[in-house]
Formats: sequence, structure tokens, C-alpha cells
Amino acid sequence: MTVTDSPRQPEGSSESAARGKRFQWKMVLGDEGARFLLPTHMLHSTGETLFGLSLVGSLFFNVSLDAARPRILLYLAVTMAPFAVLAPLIGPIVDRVRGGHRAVLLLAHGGRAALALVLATQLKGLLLYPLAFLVLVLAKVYSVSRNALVPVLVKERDHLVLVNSRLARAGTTAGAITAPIGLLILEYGGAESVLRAGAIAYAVGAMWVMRIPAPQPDPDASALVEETELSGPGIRFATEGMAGVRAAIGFVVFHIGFVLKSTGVSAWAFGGLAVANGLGSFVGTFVAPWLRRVVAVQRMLTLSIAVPGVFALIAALRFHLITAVLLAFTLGLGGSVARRAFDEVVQTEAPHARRGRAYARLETGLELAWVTGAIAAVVARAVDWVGLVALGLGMLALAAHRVWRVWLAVRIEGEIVPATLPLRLLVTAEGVAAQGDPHQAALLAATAVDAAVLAGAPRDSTVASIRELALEVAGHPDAESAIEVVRRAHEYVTEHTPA
Amino acid sequence: MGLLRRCLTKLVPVIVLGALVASGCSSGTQADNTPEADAYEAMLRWILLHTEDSVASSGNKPRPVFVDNLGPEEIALDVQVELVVRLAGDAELRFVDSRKEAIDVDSEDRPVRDGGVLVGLGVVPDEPPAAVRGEVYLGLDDVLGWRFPLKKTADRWELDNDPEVVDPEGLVETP
Repeated sequence: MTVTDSPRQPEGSSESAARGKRFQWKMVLGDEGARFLLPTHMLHSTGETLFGLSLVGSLFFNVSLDAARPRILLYLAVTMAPFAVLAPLIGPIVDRVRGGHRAVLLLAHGGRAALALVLATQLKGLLLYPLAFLVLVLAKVYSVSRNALVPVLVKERDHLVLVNSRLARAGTTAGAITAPIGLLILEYGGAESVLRAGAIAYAVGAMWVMRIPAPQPDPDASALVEETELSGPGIRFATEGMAGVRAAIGFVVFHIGFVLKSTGVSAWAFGGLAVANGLGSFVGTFVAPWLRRVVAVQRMLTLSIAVPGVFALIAALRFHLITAVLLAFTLGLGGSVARRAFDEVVQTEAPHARRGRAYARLETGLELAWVTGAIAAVVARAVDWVGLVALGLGMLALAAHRVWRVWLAVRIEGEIVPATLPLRLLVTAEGVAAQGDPHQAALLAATAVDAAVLAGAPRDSTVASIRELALEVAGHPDAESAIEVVRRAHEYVTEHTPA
Repeated sequence: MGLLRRCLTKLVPVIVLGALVASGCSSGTQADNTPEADAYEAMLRWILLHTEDSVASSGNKPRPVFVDNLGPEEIALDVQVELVVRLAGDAELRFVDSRKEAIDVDSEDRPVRDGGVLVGLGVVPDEPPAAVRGEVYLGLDDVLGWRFPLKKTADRWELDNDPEVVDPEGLVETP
């Protein structure tokens, strides 16, 4: 996809001035395609910070957790349900409906603005629970749609990692600037005023959403190639790791929240944890590029799981506000580093995946992991050290599993040689044909040809004939024709694709 | 049309779930006049009035009143919420899951956190006659106990007489 309807330059501005303006945006964000997403994201982070602060003055800190637990559990479970339909819903809207991406982001911002205003009247009422969880759902909707939109907005595909990293940094900075202002509002105006300020931030963010340009479908994009790329082993491996980090964060939010409340610390301790997490996330945006120069990208993900796992065990050995803060910091750091590694894997291994739908599915899986971790913490309601030991051992086990899988792959293959997608697909097609499924093999072989064309191979008459034959095979299964498709695809791909 | 139909198909479960949540919310917020809350409110107001020095507000904010149940079961969430709202102007109620949430157990004389008091409330029976235990923990050597006689008039519990002083049991801490 390419971004087409970028906002007009003011009349009379010279081309060089326009170039200068673009250059500045590129300096700030790394790619001008996602420039209108920057203020939107910063305003969203501002709203998030204010919303979080307002909870200090809410019912959450007045009622006992044991009494509230069934309700929290119910709403967390209900939170999960919309995600089951989020991916198939958000993806097509972002991809096919003109302005659909704006509609989804607008829903997230506008909805949260409205909910913040309603919440301001319900901070001490039972409606707080459903409203707070609706806010959570919309936060996840925003997260899924934003992460799905960035790859289709960036002009240069190689800029995905950079843009995501800078967006994260800008968001954390906005939150850090907002926090002291929010505290002042809380002190002098109360939690209700903080929520109203948050509603304003969301509403202004909604106005910025309208300026985000519409991505246009790329005529060369092949859904089959995208799907195949995104279901590649490297991406699946990275997704599993990323899901582990997200689940750990969801678990810690609720487990540490419950534990701290039961030890009688003040509500400000929760703010301290949020700050530590945000700081970790911010530091992570600087650590990740350095780490990337030292270790391989999948190993970055493994480290992002292992390090917070170690700190979870340290916190289990001696639970204290300081060890909890350290855990929150390392989780923020790990989440940030893991995000960068995950983006790089997607950027490298799925260079043609430029559809919101594909990303929405990946991101939805990650958000589900977060909710699953949160539910595990609420259901278990474990003693502080028990929950932390379980978390630490779980994370270290996942890290060890990842190390073992890489070791196994190296042992089997000798060394991991990255093959281009067309060749990978072709090898898979031939393997499937050898297993006695020529029809499936023919479709895979035709996809390999599509991938080769996307990678720069000539779109000649051979391509047309292979596609035509593959379509025939799809309509009327015929083993001989199917094998012919695989044979022709083999010739074409090996001729035009470097090994 | 196909896309719209598919989107609507996906939306149906969301709408149904939303309706379920909404119905859950409405059932949760209709707990406005639970008899149990009436009884506890009367007891809490009496206790706060008679331990006024200990729960005097600091500045413009009321001091925290930690509340624990003396019975085997948790005070229901809707009752807790109702009490928080009803006593909002007079005290900042904080229902606790464990004593250490309210008492600084690491300190030698085990004071109540944030300069507040810890109140223990017994179980309110469904029907009269009722004598419900109430206790206040002000410090390690300063625990008071009462038995509150309650009467029910027109579905509302209220104090029948001044409470009888009893030895505290539930909130007594051993050093």
C-alpha cells in the first residue's frame, strides 16, 4: 500500500520549502508517512496518563479486592470476547473501507473521551467496573489499529522499526509531561477534573485522527503472499515470544496491584510502579538499537523475556516496593526491546505484508495474551511470592525453550541460512507434492511465482500461463496439470530468484 | 454489501456481549437500599461519633476508616460501595482483605496506617432480632467492642438502643 492523499501544502509554498518540511518530519519520526499519527499517539498517551491518575480517587481503592474479584474477573473475561472478533473486524475496515482506519481510531478516541466524561460521575459507583473495562477494550482497539496502521502508513518499508520506536518514545514523553500536570489537577480539582482533562486530550486526539491520510491498496500486493510471509516460522517464533512478554505484563499489573493493596501501601505506590514501567519502556527505545548491534533479533526477544523473569524471582525472594519497582522497570524495558525486535522480524521476513488485516490479527493475538495473563493473576490471587515465583519460572522456562529451539534448529540445519520467500515457498510446494497433494502444491507453487514477481522478477507470459493453469487446477483438480504448475514454477523461480 | 454483511455478522456477538454487560451493570447498580447497608451505616456512624478524636479529619480530608468483617464472609461489594458513598462526607472508608492492609505490622506498637482507625463489623442477620458485634482498633492496647441492638422497620435496619459494651475479640492483636 502507498500513502496517497497526504495533506495539501499551503498555496504559494515553494517546492524546496515543502521538501524542508518533509525533511523535518523525517528527522522527528524517521518517516513522514506516519506524521499525523504522532500527535494522535501523544494525545492518546496524555489521556492514558490522566485516566490512570484518576483511578487513585476511584472506588478501586475503597473496596476490598476479594469482594471485587468476581466482578473484575467477569469484566476481564468479557474484555477477551471482543478480541475474538476484533481482528476480522478491524482488518477489513482498515483495508477496504475508504477512511475505515480513521473510523476505528476515531471510535477509540471518541469512545474514550465519552467514557471518561461518564466515568467522572461514576468514580464511586458500581458502574466504575464496566466503564473502566470498556475503556480497557477501547485502549486495546487503539493499540491493535495503530500497530496495524503504522506499516501501511510508512513510506519506506525499512522505516517500520524506526517509526514504531519513535512513536513509543514520543508517547512516553507525552505521558511524563502530563503526569505532574495531572497530579496538580488531582490535588486541586479532584479525580473528576483529571478525567475531564483526559476527555479533552482524547477529543483533540480524535480531531488529529481525521488528518491521518488514507492508505491506498497496492495493486501488486498479493494476499496469499502476505499470509504466507506472516505465517513463516520466524514470525511465529517472534509472535510466541512477544505474546509471552505481553502475558507477563498483564499478569504483573493485576498480581502486583492486588499484592500492594493487601499490604496497605498508599495509592501513590501504584503511580510509582506506572512511572517505573514507563521509564523502562522509554529507556528500552535507546537500549534496543544498541542491543541489536550486539545480538541477533530473536535473541533480543529471548533476553526481553529472561531479564524480567530474573527480576520476578528477585522480587519473590524479597517482596518490597523497591523490588516491585525494579520488576515494573524491567518489564517496561523488556516490552520495549521485544517490540522493536518483533517489528524487525516482521519488517525483514514479511516485506510484502502491508495490509492492516494481517497485522490486526497478529496484534489481536498479542492483546489476548495480555488479557490471559491478567485473568490468570485474578483467578490465582496467589500470595505475593507464589505468584512471582510462578511468573519468574514461567518466563525463564519460555526463554529456555526459545534457546533450545534455536539450538535445535542450528543442530539440524548446520546453520540457519535465510532463504528468500519464493524459494521457501517453492521448496514447500515440492515437499507437499512429494507427500501426494499435487493440488495444494500447485497453489503454493503459483504463490511462489507471485512472490518472485513482487521481489522483482519479470511479469512475463510464463507468469500468466502459470497463474492460468493454477486457477484451472483450483477449479478442476487435475493431478497432471498440478504437477505441471509446480514444474513450470520451479523453472521460473530458480531462474529469476537468487539463492 | 458482502463486506458489510460480514462485519455485521462479526458485530452481533459484540452487541450481545455489550447487552449482557449492560444488564450486569444495571443489576449491580440497583443495590441502592440494601438492608445490610442500613445496619452498617447506623453502626459506623455511631462508632465514628464516639471515637471522634481518633478519626478527626486532617486538613480538608477525612482520615481513613479501614473496615474489616468480623464474620466468616466478606461484606458484599454492593454494600461496600453503598457505604463508601453514604459516608463519603464524614469518613474515607477503605474495606480491607487483610489486617496488615490497615495495621502497620512492622511497627512495634502496630498503629493504624495513615492515622486512621480500623473498624470490625459482624454479620447482620436476615431477620430480627439482631445484635451485631462492632469493634474498633485504635492501637495495640486500645481496642473497643460493642454489641449493637438493631430493629427493623419498613425493611430498614436501625439502632434500637445504645450498644452494650463487650470485650473485643475479633480485632485484638497479639504483640
